[in-house]
Amino acid sequence: MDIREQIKLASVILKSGAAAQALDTILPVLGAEPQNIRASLVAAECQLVLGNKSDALVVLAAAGNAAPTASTASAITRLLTKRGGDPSIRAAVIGHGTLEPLADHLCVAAASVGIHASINAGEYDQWARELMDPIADIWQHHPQVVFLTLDTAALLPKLVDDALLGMDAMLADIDDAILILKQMLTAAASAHPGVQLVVHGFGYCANVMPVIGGDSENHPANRLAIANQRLRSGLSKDVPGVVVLDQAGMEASVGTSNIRDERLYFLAGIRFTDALMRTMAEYQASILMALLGKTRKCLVLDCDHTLWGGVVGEDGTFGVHVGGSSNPGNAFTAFQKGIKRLQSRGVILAVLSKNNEQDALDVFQNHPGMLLRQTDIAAHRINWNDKASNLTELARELNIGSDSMVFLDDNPMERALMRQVHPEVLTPELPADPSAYAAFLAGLRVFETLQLTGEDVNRTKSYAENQQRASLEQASGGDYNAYLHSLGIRVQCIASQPGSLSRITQLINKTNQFNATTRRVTDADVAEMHASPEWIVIETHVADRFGDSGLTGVALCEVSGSTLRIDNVLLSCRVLGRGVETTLMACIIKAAAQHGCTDITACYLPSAKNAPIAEYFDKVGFVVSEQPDGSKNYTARMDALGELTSPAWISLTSSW
Amino acid sequence: MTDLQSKILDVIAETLMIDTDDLSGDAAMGVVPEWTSFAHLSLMAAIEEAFGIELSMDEMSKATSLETLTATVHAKVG
Repeated sequence: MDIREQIKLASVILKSGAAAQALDTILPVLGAEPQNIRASLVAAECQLVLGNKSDALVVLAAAGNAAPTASTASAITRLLTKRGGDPSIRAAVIGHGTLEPLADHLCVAAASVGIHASINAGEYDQWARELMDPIADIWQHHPQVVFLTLDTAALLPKLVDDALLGMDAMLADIDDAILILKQMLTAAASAHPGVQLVVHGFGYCANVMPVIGGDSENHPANRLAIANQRLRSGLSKDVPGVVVLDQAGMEASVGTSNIRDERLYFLAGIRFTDALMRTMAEYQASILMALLGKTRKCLVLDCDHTLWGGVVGEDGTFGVHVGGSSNPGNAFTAFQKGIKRLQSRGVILAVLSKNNEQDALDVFQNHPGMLLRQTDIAAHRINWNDKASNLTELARELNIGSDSMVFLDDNPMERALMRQVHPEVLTPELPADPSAYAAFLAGLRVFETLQLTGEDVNRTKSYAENQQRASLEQASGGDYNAYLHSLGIRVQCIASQPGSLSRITQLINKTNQFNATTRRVTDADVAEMHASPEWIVIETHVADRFGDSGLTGVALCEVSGSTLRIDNVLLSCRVLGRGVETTLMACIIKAAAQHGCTDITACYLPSAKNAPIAEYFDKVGFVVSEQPDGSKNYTARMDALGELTSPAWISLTSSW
Repeated sequence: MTDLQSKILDVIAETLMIDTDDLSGDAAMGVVPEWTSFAHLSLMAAIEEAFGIELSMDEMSKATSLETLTATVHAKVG
């Protein structure tokens, strides 16, 4: 039977309701022709009917990559809308021109990172009305995030069309446009609190010729840079929480002569090529990841042929290739530079290699070409055990979920094994040629956070400090109490400070294990709670003799009448197990007493990962009422909670 | 149906993700429910790729039925 007939057959079987049998029919087709779009769609539909959404997303992402066109994206979107059930996030794309193709590309880009997103496209050129009108169609779909794309030519007409504008007139043109944008975004932010607003910055303008030999002030590229810089600073000052994406940078990455197809633009108002829309969608998808707390935190690296060229066990410490200005050492240097760049924004580095431990460590310590040194590595497993179990140990040592790890290894067998044992670990196909490593890493947009905070930058240091704590624990001969006293833990529980709000949002969204509800929030939510007299937002800072972990705990409490409701409470896993949990609860109770409350309520919503906090409220004396869906509601009379105090080994500074 | 026409039908079916059986000689935008104005643009891109030709904006906006599309492609590939 030819491929076509077989796809048709599978499709008929699926329609008859036998999804499992249809899948059996279509999988061989997909095996023979992995890039067949129709076969992929049928296979994904089978998986969706069978309830295997994550498998379906993998198949759809592969199809979207094989044929990165608007029509494939549209077919994928239609399938997910029809059969995908509830999406994990809803978004809207608004702006100038025709937006449906961009919405479809975003749906595919989200699938590529394992997210089922439902995307609503705004109407042609209606973005201003949509932002201002609280009952516009896009809001009926309850988006959690809204992406706005701008047409530079429409918003900055003088800047685009007047070749000799002069600096003052140019700045006036820019500031006029930014003022309008500010007003609209502010209106949207206040009408739809909690919705994350994302603005694509100004992009290049088609068909604008610079005056050759003209002054640099009037050069279009200079004008665009100034407009974007003012857009960024203007919006971030007056519209808290808004994210501005580097549209001009995305356009440059696909080539500025490849921004739009002139025929589709003049025929249908489509402002971007498929290639550009795909790049834009990838950036947008990384924002969806950050909002869903799916940002990866840790890069796990193989050594031989990955960090350096050659095999240290055979070639010796100084025989491996890294550093210098010649091939292949220079390619590995570029790759290590990229890794250091990620580290500087908070990504944790770990090493996982099959080698004699001393051989590999010797390269880190002594090879003159290495940029990565042992102090850059938060944890390592260098031995002959299988990498999958070693990775489990690394996750345990670093106290992070293995689903926040990315594993890079040049060996396809090791990658396949890792994918099989740990599908939750992101194990991308590393390019075969080391010269492509650095570019590959730069395009791996899975570590994105919406803001960088001081805590991000100090993270590797902080994990190294945790290792020192662990050695001290061993040295105290297992007397845990003595160990805790020797740590000299200092905790500060204070009312939220204006300068902490973005870190509070980030912590709420990134914490998975000790997080009572794992309900995610936006900057706007946190700003609102911070400002409201009914809410008490507690920020918790933890430090000890080994270092300052910074802002690592949050409690969100709402007072109404004589009841304090704990909306959520969470601690970073880096500070767990040292009594800070008890200290934070003691502060919540004190705060309740000061507000004249007689009762406290709380709630636990189970997730795949937050078992560590499941018994938190039970232990301190709350009365539990278990719900059929597995969640737990808690109540406690203040007098029944008694005098819960912070542990003796913690020195506490508190607002209450 | 000519060879050219049946090849065009294949491209239409492939792009719109439907079976060739669902298409007849009077297939056109609006007649075939999947052939929307958006799908039309993807279809034009697919036709260009399949036949190695380039269509102008005017040709794209007129080639909205199997009949006109076949005539347009025929004129280009000779």
